[in-house]
Amino acid sequence: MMSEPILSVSSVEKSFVLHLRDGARLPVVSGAGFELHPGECVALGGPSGAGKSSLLKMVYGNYRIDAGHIVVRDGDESIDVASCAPRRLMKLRATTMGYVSQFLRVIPRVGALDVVAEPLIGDGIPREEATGRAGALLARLNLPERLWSLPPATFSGGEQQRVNIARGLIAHRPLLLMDEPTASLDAANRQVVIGLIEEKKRAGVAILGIFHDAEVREAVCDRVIDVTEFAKAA
Amino acid sequence: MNAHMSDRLASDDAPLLVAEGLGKNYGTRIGCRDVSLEVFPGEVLAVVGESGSGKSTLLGLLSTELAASAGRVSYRMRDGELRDLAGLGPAERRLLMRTDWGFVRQNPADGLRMAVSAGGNVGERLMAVGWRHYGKIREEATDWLGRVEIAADRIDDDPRAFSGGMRQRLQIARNLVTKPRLVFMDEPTGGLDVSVQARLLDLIRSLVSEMGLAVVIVTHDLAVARLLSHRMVVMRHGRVIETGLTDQVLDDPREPYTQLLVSSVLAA
Repeated sequence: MMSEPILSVSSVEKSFVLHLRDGARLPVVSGAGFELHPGECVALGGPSGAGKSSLLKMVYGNYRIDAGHIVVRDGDESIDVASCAPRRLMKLRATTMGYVSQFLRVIPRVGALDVVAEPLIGDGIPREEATGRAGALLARLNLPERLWSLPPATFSGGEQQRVNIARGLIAHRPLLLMDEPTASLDAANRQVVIGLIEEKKRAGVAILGIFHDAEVREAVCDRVIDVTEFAKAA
Repeated sequence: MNAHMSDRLASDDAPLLVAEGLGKNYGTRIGCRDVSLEVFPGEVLAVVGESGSGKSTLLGLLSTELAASAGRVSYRMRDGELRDLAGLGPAERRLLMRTDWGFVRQNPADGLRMAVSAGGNVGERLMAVGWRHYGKIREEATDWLGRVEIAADRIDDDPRAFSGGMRQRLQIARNLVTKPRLVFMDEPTGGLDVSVQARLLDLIRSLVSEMGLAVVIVTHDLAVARLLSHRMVVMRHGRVIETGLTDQVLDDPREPYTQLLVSSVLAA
């Protein structure tokens, strides 16, 4: 690929030190390195426990790393997630790097429509337009309209996941991290998510994700990075 | 979680409050020592730690309610100038507290005037910043009671007749009515029932983001910190032992004490 990478991961090392377990050291990855370019979707592969989710969290800056660089291109700037100031990372997340987690973190009393619209409102889009687009996306994900005004705490796993996906995909972020976005979805909704991911790719968004579902992975992913390569050394 | 967060983060790179080498001794006992931190506009900073870790002392020092034994606190005034708060005269400091700052206390009785009506509690702050027209003050107070979900027909009741949750919401209205830029909160949900807490947290969360407030919130409840704050400092024995984005500190705690704190709660 000729384009400049949006994400460059190099020589990343991470272990957890468990102080409550007499300082036991739990290695996660060592020498992890790869690049991601605009418009491509790359899967992190490997068995459970290989460090796929951890690696995703390191890229998002949620887990801190012991060595290496995680450089994200933010417009004209290159920001190293591993060493930038916390406020710079907040800005990077607000504008450039989105994260679709496996589970929705429910906020008491906030209805599904507002949960989904929030990233757009954060971008400065008027509330009416933001909720309109949120509704359209929830409808596309087959979430019944009678649920839209309700806080998702009482929703089923699949319903919560669809709210979560809608929230994660509604705003434009050039780099998207996705942790098993289709784990609890039925076949019809998996197809909707595949369509949404394809649209993101066509818009030039780079996606790094964990896709256990073979159907989804084959449909959207351009290549797979084997995380066990990084675990071996760790 | 904040409206126009990206704009705000981009344009407001000058800190609002700066603490440098802040310390406080109570006789030979150390309340807090060598604390340096910055609070930026529109940002919620949580100070967490156990009882006795020095977090309330730190809040007292930042808000100049306590005199520091060491270090200093500076604040960016509305004219853009960063000023050492120890250099302000008493009148200047009082004005700052009434106009630019709020302080929400754990016990509403410490932050409200319990024998004054709900409307009076809110209106008093407006009068302190120069509002004189009774009808307008009452109108603004009614509006603020509504924003904190207190029915308009309770405006003439005094807070002694209110439940704990209502009193706390009234205290928030009293603090926010003058549109401060910086609000200190000391365990604002402590001592409330869980259901009442959730309502209060949601209210604080939405008001903070709508108004673009900077907040320093002291809490021992990590779930409260998770929900409300962008950044976090962890205190132990009067010192800051770990800092970072709230999700970093809670999901990947590094210090033994922080790991203990995080692992001691059921779900944060």
